[in-house]
Amino acid sequence: MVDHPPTTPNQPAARRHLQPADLRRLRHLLFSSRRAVEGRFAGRHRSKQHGRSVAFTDYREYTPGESLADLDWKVFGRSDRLFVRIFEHQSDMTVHLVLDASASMDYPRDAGQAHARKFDHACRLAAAIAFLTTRQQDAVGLVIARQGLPQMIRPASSFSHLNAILDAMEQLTPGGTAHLAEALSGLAGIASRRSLALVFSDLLEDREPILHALAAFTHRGGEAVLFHVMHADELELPDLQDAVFLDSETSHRVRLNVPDIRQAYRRRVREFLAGWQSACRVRGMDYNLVSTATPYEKVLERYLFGRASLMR
Amino acid sequence: MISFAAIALNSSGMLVGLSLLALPVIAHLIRRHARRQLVFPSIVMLRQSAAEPSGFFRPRRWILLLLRCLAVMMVVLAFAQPSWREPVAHAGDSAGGTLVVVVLDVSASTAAQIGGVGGATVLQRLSSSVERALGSSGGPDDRIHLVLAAHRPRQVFSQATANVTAVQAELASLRPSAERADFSAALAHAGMLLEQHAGGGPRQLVFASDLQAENLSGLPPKLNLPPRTRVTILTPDAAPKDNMALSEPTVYPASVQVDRPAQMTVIVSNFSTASRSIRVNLLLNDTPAGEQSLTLDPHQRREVAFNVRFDRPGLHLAVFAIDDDALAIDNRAYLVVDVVQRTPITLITDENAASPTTAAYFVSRALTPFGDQRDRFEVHRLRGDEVTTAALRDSAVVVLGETASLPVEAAGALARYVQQGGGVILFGGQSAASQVSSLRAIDPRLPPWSLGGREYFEVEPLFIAAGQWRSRMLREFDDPAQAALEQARFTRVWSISDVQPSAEVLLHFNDATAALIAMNVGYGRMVAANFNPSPSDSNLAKYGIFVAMMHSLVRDAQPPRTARRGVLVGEPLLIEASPFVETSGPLQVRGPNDQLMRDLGYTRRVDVATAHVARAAQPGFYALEQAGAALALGYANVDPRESDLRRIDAAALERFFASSGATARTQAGAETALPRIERPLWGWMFAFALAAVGIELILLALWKR
Repeated sequence: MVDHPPTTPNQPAARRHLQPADLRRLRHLLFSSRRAVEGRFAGRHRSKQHGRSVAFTDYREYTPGESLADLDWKVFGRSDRLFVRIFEHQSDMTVHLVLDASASMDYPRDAGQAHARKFDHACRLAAAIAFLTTRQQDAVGLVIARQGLPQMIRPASSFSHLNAILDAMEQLTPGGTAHLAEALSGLAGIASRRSLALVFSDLLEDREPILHALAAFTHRGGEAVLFHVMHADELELPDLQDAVFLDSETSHRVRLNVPDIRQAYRRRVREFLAGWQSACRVRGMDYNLVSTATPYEKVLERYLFGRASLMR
Repeated sequence: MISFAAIALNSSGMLVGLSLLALPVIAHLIRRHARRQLVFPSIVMLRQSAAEPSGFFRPRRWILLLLRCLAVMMVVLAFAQPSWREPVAHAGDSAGGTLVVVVLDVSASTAAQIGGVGGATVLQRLSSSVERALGSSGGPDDRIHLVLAAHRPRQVFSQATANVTAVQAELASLRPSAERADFSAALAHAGMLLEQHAGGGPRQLVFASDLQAENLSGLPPKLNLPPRTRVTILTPDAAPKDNMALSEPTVYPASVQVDRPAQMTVIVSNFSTASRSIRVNLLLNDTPAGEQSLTLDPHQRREVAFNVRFDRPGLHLAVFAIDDDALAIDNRAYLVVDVVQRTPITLITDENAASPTTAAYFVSRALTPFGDQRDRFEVHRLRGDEVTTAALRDSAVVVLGETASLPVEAAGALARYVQQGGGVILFGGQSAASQVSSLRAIDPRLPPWSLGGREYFEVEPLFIAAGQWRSRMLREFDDPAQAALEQARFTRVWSISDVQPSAEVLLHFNDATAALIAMNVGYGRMVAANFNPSPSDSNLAKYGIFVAMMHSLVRDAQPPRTARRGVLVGEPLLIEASPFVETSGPLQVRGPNDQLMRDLGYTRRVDVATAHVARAAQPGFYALEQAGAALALGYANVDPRESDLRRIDAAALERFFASSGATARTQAGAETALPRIERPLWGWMFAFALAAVGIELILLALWKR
């Protein structure tokens, strides 16, 4: 891990979804892909490409006529044989932030609730990752999944680009349905082969189409990370008795006595979450359950530290 | 108090709090419908959860409602003061149900209103006490008898009943009678019922009475009760003791003549602890006929007299009345006055009444001087062997003169005549001794004395030297009349002996021997003289004073009350219509308050129709009617002994029962009477309520988790 203090003069000020002060603890962390990435520029991340970098990977026999610059003379001195050193190519990383902007993410709608709105929580998380990515001079882009038509901000690595991403988040009002599978399929079609897709969604749509779309992405060498954003009320029903629940997307309603169904609902939720977790694990995707009850910086910290420990 | 088997609720009025059960029910219903609207990200999983069989959860609300209702109910029951009652077991009691015999006083005095006019009656209080006492009984084998103590004891249920509800309904429907209670008979009957109790279970006697001293003074020395009988004496608290009453209405003379002065009297009694001023009214045939005011000291009684004249013959209804007080039933006294044109007199003699040498002649002349309608009296002559009950029925007075013999039948008719309210004047004479013997053989009380042999005073004839000039018979004899009577000389008189102790000597001869005696016998009266008005025995008949004497004798011989027409409430009443001429239509009797009486017996003999009222249940007039016309009248008055409301000491009554082998205790007012062990249950009720609340809280906590 290399300590790269921020040198970019354009460090953004605090924004609605971005509080750099919250991310102070994460300044030493590198957010990178666990897979080899394929970027246009040299960067800090492993790449399947070969090239010059400080990362030595292997030896091969010298072929007469090659340049003598890569000969390992120490090995010749020991063995009287000529071997050439091969170095790992390091490239920059492209991160695609896929943000679910459906109506179900707009919960709760009442101001003054104990926990943050799901969409805001997702945006803060996404903004934080965008900031970290930009700071380490990697490219980050934004895909907004709403009504199935993805709004897309192509990846770039400047702070002004980050501001554009933040602007887009702030101007966005969740509504309608996400059609996340369509958005991911669309992303898979245009993203570079080995890039990182971070999905911020409540995943309340059919699982298989989404996984299929993500699989199409990962099969091309990319990495997918799911941040399953759920409100605390979705994980544990609020303390109500009789209530009429209106679906935020379909406007369907159901009358319930909450205590009556609490246990069954809890069971259902566990099954739902376990289903996603298991499906992601099987497909080699990172799955992170994000509750609005947990501050986003804690979520990110936990994720990045965990991710960093896996990459040693 | 309400009882459910062995559990009694002492404050059953608190059960109104059960209406609070509406609160959890209303809350349950409101909560069912109170729904908050919430926009939720997705209701898919909610729907899936709701579709699952809820098993235990759906009935959960009902369980909570049940627990809350149970808690409210337990709290309300706790305030109703429930208690567990079980009979006290005594040593020697066998297993088996308890027989409770209730002797309830329904005499006239129980109509007294507690707290003044308009208050509850003593009987209502006693009935309530008995109801509460019976409410504490509840064993399935327990049985109850109810005996009403009145003129004759009345057993309400033919068999001992376990139906407490029926007994309580009977108690609620009871009204005080107008009769005097015969407690000796009632308690004897109760003893018999207790003796008959099969099974050997406990026996209890509940004696509910106002403990009127007059009623209880006639108890026998000892009562026959089964051993180990437990007696509970129930008395009302605060029963009234003060009372004003009317009694013994009379008219003098008993056979009142048209346009002749008569005197109507009534006894006014002050059974109070303070002096009372009172106004007595007399109504004749519903018309005010007089009013008098008087003041009586505590426990003083006085005769109040009204001078009246009747302007027509026939039966007249007289009512004496005072203002109603706490016991109103004795504030009226009823009397039927038989007013005649001429007083019928029967002269029993075998003498020739036309011969001036006979006593019959002079007696007839003294009574009917004109020999026509102008005479005040109408004299019928009968020979000694013609005397029958029917022949004497309509006579106001019978004069028994010389007869050859007095057959047994005749003597019996005469005796009955006197006993049933007739008046007989008996003169001395040759046949007097045998007449006296014949009468004595029928009724030892008749006549006032025994007559012996004739005594002669021809040298110094006897004369009337002294008399009870203030008596009713002689009070009209002023000094000249007395002097005139002294002029009569009696040369022959009859010796007398065996003078009845209750006889009153009205006239004395100068030798201090009795000349004229009067005595009440049964309902009637006998006046006996040991002289004879025949010229051969005295010259009395030659004097005009003899006429006055005869008139006075006739007037005095009539008993002070026409008992043939009047009885005390509770006694049988005979109403005779004579002469009776059969017409179309049934005979019927209309009682007081104008109601027709049922189940009566009627007899018809020659020219007499009689209605037999087995029990005159109410005070007032009873009319024997046919075809809408009243043929004869009778009346009944409250027994004056019911008017004195003074009570005996309950401890004395307890001793009386104890002397009969029973254990007795007295309870007054609203306490339960039957000995029971009472275990309060309200603590348990509160505990149950807290348990219900605790279970609810535990379930809520578990379900929330």
